[in-house]
Amino acid sequence: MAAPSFIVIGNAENRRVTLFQDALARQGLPPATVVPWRELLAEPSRLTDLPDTDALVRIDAAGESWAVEKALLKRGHAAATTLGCAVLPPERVEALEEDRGRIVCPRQAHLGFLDVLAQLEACFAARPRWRVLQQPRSIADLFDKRVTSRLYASRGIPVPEPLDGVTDVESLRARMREEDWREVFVKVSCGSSASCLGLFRSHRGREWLLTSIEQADTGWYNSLQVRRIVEPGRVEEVLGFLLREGSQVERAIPKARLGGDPFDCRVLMVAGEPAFIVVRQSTLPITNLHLGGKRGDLEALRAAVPPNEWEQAMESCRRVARLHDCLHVGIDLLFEEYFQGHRIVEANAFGDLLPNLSRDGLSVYEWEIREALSRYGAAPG
Amino acid sequence: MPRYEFKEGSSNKFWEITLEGDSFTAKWGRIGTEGQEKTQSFDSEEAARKEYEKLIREKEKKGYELVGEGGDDDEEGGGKVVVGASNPELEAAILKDPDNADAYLVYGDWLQAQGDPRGELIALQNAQAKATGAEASTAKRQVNAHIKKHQALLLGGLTKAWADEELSVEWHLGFIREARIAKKDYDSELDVPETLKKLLAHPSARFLRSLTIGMVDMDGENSYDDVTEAIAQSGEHPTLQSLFLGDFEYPDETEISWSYLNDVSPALKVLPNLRSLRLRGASAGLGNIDLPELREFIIETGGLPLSAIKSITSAKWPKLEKLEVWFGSDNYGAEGGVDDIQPILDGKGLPGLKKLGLCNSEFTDALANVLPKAKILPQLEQLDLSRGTLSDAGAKVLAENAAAFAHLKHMDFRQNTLEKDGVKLVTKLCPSVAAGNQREYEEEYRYSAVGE
Repeated sequence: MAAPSFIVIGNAENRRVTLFQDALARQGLPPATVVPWRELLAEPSRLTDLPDTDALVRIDAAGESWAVEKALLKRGHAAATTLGCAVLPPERVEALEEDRGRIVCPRQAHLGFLDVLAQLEACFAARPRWRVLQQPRSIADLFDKRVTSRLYASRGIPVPEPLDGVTDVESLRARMREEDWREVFVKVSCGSSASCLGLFRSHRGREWLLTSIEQADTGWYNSLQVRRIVEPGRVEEVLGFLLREGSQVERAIPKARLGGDPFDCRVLMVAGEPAFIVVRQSTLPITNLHLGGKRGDLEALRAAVPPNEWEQAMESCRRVARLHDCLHVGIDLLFEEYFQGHRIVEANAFGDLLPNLSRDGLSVYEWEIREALSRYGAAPG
Repeated sequence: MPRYEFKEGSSNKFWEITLEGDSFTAKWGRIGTEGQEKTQSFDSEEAARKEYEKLIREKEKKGYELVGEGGDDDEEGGGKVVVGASNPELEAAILKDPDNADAYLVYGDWLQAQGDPRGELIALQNAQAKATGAEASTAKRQVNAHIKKHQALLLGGLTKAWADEELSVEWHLGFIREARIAKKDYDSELDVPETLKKLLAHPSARFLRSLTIGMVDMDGENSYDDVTEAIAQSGEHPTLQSLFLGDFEYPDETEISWSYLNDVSPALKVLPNLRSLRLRGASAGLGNIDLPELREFIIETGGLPLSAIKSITSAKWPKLEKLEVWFGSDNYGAEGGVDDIQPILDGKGLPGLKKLGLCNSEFTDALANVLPKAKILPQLEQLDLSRGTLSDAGAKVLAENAAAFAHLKHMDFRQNTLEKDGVKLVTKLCPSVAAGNQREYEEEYRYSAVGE
């Protein structure tokens, strides 16, 4: 029996898609049929025009495309008007010039994305022979850190304690005082890649906010340079924005160190098992690699973690993976200071862009392809 | 267990009660005596609890006052100095092999027999290390509660710094294994060198393995002289394996060049078994380095003086596996160049070196010219040239000598001044190459990534 073919929903020009096609080619498989988000947003029938043959459907990120972002913003407008977040009407979205990295109404775009996911779900219902590698409903869950944090906690999986009852900056301060917490993360719950987040410290009347947001004259941007804002008015302004957009607020857990630097791990779960692990080491408490963090030494980490702590952390990752109907989930895992426990910080639906990693001679995408085929279809060759 | 006391006239009585499931034990007598005790059992837990609560209400009515939650161990009074038990012979057994749990457990038994709470901490932590799942979280809670309860003995004069989260410690089988001291904000009243002195003299830190010092001074010069002195004057620390001076965040806590390491050599003299030494800051003085056990040396600076380069190139560290040197910008005191690090390139005195970082330099292109033929290169597994001034021309030289680098497991070119073509060239040099976050390329104004 021939292996089923792949359909990829993604941004055709993005390296996520080109690298996936490369991976198929290296496995001796035909290229995937690519359905670009841009076309899907303009023409919902773009997907249902495809025949109902045996196929594996991979959904990848919609980000890093201005045309797609604009379409999502337009689609999310109606829903956004009721939420109190920043809103831009469709005609003003249309008039916007591309400005790379600029933050434009993240909640509104997210609502547009949720709408498309619902549309996908309906499409898939009419295509019973397709095997969908990540269910749209699970992707929707993974794009809301408030949902995942509470879901995991309810199953006894350790997460950073969420701070409830925060509606604005004033209530944030009050709640921190009540809990006697000095530092919290404030993350727009639909953000990814450390966009729209801040580490807020408030203690002894002093405050600062460590953030990837850059406030420039022409607007606010996601910056590669993490900065610390200390000027009270600006702290207030940025925090206020994050909270109005709908944020997950949680205690900042002191991280374990490796070679003297704080670190956390990206654990890529594939088919329920930890398949790839990247150690993200940084001199800053925000460790994302594109923000200056570096890949740490996994062997050194394994040597530093007590064996039972490691096993428990991997078990938490497995339990998280089981809660999402997705072939792969990218989990952010931190070990607490001095390896006294671990926390699941978040999980990402599209957390598998990890170039230059290999295991048993397979890249991350090749590994996923193999697992997809062994789960749903014939093995290659 | 709650303890109640009644003092009036000649009356001087206590009453304690412990509820456990469907029974409770009451204990009473004159204060200062053991008194007598009696256990009563009931048909159900609820019945036991009802009777238990009724008795407490009766005692309260009679004028008994709650004086504490009790416990088998000695109560700690506020601010009272508590001295623990110690046994030099059993400690010597731990010192011989601080990674071996058995010697701790023997000492723990002895301490428990003396009624010293450190004994119970050793036992609790030993149980924690073996526990999994729900048991592990219970064990962790017990350990934390025990430390909090006996903080006067376990932390002594360090309690405030610990409560303020400016001293963080790792407890390992009853003793502090790792410690980090740092001012956290501008309003901090912490005296870092004083706290360090107390720590190094404290019985709990007898087997300290790892020490990290962050911000010392938020207002003026963040200098490490007094830290070095505190270490030097505290005597030899044979257990200390890892030292990190300058664990601050820059550029926002301080600039790397506003923090002064100055002469750290007096501290190194009392740390004969150091395996990892990491230093961050300006004006580094290293003296004659003689660290026979050192595996890892990292110095991060915006400007490395020539004298420090000379210390590094003539150091005695025969077991060194990783050497990472940030040279910095001549605007911030960087001196020296390729010629001055020739002994490193020749692998002189570095038989076990596997990871070499020549980072944050303004002579990265010159390095690219000499690296392909460097004698040290064949033995290396990793080469780090990050934060420097590597241009596309330098990348071209490396690419033309690609065979010399093909054996490497990892190369790091992050934050250089490469353009797209240069990034492409270096990416092919070995299987794992990091080349992200390149900086603006301006030939006339090239500078290392970290200066001020």
